[in-house]
Amino acid sequence: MPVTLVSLDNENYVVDKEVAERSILIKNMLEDVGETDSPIPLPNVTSTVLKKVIEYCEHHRNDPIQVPDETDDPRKRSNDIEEWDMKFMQVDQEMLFEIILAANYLDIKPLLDVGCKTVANIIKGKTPEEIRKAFNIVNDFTPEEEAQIRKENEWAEDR
Amino acid sequence: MNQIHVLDVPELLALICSYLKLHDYAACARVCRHWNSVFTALVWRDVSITNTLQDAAILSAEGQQGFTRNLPYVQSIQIRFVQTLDALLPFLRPKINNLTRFVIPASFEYRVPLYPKDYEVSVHDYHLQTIVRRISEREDFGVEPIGTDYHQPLPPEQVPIPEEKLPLAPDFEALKYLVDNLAPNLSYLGLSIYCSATVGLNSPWMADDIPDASSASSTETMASIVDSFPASDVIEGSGLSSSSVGISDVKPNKLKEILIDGDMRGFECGPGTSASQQHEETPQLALPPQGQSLDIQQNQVQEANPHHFFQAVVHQMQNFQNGQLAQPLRSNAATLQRQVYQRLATLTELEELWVGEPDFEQISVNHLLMIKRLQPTNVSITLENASNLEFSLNSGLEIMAGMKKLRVLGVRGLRHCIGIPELRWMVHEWPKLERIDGLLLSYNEETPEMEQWLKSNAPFLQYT
Repeated sequence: MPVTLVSLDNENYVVDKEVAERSILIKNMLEDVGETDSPIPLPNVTSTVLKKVIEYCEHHRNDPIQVPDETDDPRKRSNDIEEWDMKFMQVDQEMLFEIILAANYLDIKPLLDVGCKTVANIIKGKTPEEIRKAFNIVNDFTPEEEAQIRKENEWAEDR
Repeated sequence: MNQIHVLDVPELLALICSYLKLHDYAACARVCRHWNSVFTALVWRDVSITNTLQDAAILSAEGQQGFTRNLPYVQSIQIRFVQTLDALLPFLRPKINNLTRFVIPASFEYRVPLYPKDYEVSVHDYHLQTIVRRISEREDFGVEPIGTDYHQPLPPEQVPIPEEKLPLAPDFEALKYLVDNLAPNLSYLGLSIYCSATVGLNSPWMADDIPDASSASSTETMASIVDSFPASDVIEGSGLSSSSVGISDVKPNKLKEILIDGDMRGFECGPGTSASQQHEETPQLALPPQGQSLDIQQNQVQEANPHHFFQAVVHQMQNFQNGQLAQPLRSNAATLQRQVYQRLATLTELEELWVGEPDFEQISVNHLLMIKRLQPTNVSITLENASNLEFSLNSGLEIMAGMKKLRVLGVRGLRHCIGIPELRWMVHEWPKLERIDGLLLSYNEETPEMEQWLKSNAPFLQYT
């Protein structure tokens, strides 16, 4: 049975129920409401992002549901993104962050993980200057301030 | 601007950061003011100072400034060197109640000079491995099958032959001192304690500092060396940087007393540290009454090398173990032991207590190999405990009845006296106890009974 999702900018998207239910938020909603034809409004997601998210859910429609890992390893690996996801995440940063926020809101854990891993991979191993370039951030420290922070945190720098 | 939104959602930030390493946090903290406000807390959340470069960094003026400034973020501390602990502890004191994890090596450590001269091995390197292993063990604990001995068995060619063992002198003065400074609501206390090694003492570098006494007989040898010790009982730059053995009131043929230095509480004291600052509370190890000769084995002094002095002390400590020493020492040890229990008992929130030297087999082997290479003949080293935490009811185990949250007790390397009565007590008094590491001792004849008892009375308890 198809489900209709409505984006922030009032675009309607008709998707299979099993695709929509990749989102735990929507799954719970449907369970609460029961069988219904009424469209589901998603006021936090714009159509461009929702399209992207639906694309992800279509591709992963048959994946087993991820069981939340109780014994979360604090040091997780971010180099295990599968190829399709990697390509899927090759978007501009604005979109990347939009996808992460949408995945968080819609409660799509695998997508959220992939998004966060992608962000982490951008940061990993970079110098502050490289990170600024990567995220287009302006350095608002004075050179003295930055030097002070570097020295204070020096024990934490890579060795 | 969207990245700011993402970083502003704590769950998302935490998720992203779970893929990053400490040095990434440090880099991020320097990106801009906003990122600094986010990442500084992460940089300082788990302060783990485990190598010399890090020590230098945190001990610099800016490093200490950073530490005090960011103290509110600190949740966990791991420190390896005494200078660092000394420097940070004053700042830490008001804060220490908020710590969740505190790992400090309390091992008796000094640097071992080796050939070539400019190459040093710090005994502590092994301790670091121990700590790292402890932590990873703790993380892996959930998946570990019951009864697994994860300490790697020694390859047969590395198993030390009996007469060549290292002196490992556990010291609970160290523990006492440290526990004094610890927070009552700590949940993890990792002490990698109790190792000493008199290796490399015959290297030329050492010999330069210790006068030759080649003609004297055993006691005289010791005495003359003793006389030649600087009054401060610290041999600066000799390699025994923390003054492993202090001497007082010693005259030729009238050896009365040897002070085993209070520094045996551990840590590496760097060249800049005044050892005398740490000499308070020096435990006195009384030697046999005058006239009773020191039991120094002839083969050890045949070359009459001054370094035998240290070996003599080591042997003296063995004699203590063998019950040949004066009674006051024994009761002193018992008192100390109770004091340690009393202090440990104040840590009522403690979930994991690791004492002992889990890796002493490994240390022995590594050092033995080293010694064998350096001085193939002149080694007589013995594994002995001069003092110990027995964890027995006789020694006052019941003092620690209040540690209701204890889940893991690590006693590997301790010559503890835990038997069935102690186990019964522990299971009864420590309801959360689920694991004892190092329970089974090779020399304990009761082992089969103990295992049987555990099987029928406390099947939930894991042990090795």
